[in-house]
Amino acid sequence: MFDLEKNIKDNLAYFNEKEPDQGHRDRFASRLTENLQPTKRINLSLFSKIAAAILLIIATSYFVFDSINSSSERDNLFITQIEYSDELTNIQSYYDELSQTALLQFDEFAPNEEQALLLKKKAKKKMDNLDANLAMIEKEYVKNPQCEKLKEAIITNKKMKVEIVNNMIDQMGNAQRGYHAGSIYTNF
Amino acid sequence: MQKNSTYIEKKHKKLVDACARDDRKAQMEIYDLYFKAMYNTSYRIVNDSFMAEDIMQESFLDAFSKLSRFEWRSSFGSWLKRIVINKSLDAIRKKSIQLQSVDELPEIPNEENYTDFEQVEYRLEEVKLTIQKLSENYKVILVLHLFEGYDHKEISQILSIPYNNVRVRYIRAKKKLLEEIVKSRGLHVLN
Repeated sequence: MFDLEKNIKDNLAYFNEKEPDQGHRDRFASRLTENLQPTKRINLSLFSKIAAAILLIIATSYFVFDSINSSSERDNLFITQIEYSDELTNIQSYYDELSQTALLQFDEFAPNEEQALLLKKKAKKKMDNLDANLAMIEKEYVKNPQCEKLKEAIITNKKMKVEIVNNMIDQMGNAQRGYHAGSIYTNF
Repeated sequence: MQKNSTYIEKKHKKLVDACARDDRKAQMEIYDLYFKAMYNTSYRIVNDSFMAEDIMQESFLDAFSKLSRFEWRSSFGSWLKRIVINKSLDAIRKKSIQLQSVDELPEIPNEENYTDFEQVEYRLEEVKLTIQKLSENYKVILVLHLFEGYDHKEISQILSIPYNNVRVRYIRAKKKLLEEIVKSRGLHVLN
């Protein structure tokens, strides 16, 4: 009695003795090398995608920032390119000097350095608002340089700067003399 | 004995883990351990040494690239063998040899018309040579059951054919094999 299944099972090694042609190991090694490269490429490509995404964000941020910056530079350029008459230039310079000199007095009148710094910041904020207002007036002035009202507005803006700074100095002086009860500068 | 098999299992697991990390040395070690069995499995199905080598190596590469998905539900060897078998079956399908349904297979004369096949004395060499002469339909099912050790249920999953068809086909294939052995010897003896 011959049992086919049993005979094969008992002699499996006999049926598994065939070997691939010589050099199969080397052939596999080179296929392995070739095959692994795409895997690395995939990883690299993943990194590339991440890098590209980061670059895109940086580039977008740069262009947005740059366009804002350059528009602000354009505005500055635009402002510096305004051709004022000599008279108007002299008036503006005069008031600018007054306000700058007044600002320097903050150190003198403030009770201490910390307060002086705080007041300078406060004054600067007010002057920045006036500068923004001045930029709008100047845009209109470029369109219509002969308009006297615009010239007056420019001069008024400069005067206001001086007045603001002077008012602040006056307040500090009064506070030191104790005229304003309840003020932070009161000596009571 | 069990201690030894646990040691081998651990060693294999270590190697397979290293393969998953693209360790070339470990991949070659795994290749050296399994290439012969996988080659023979493929060769029995495709009956072509060049194609069998290609399928065997392709299966290793495939396995290495999918190791992250391997969950150790079976041994690495079983998993790899399944890949080899699937690729080998694909290869013979590509050769336009469609596995026929049971109904399309030629009828084998009733067993009673022949000498008792189980009493036919055969040599292993005859089995080896004759099995390759069988049609793909018979050969595949005999190879999967007799040599690869799959049961009928597993074969029905591998070949995507109903369980009963596998059973019937196997019986017919076995009869055909023995018939061919007898024929080759000129011992076609009717009762």
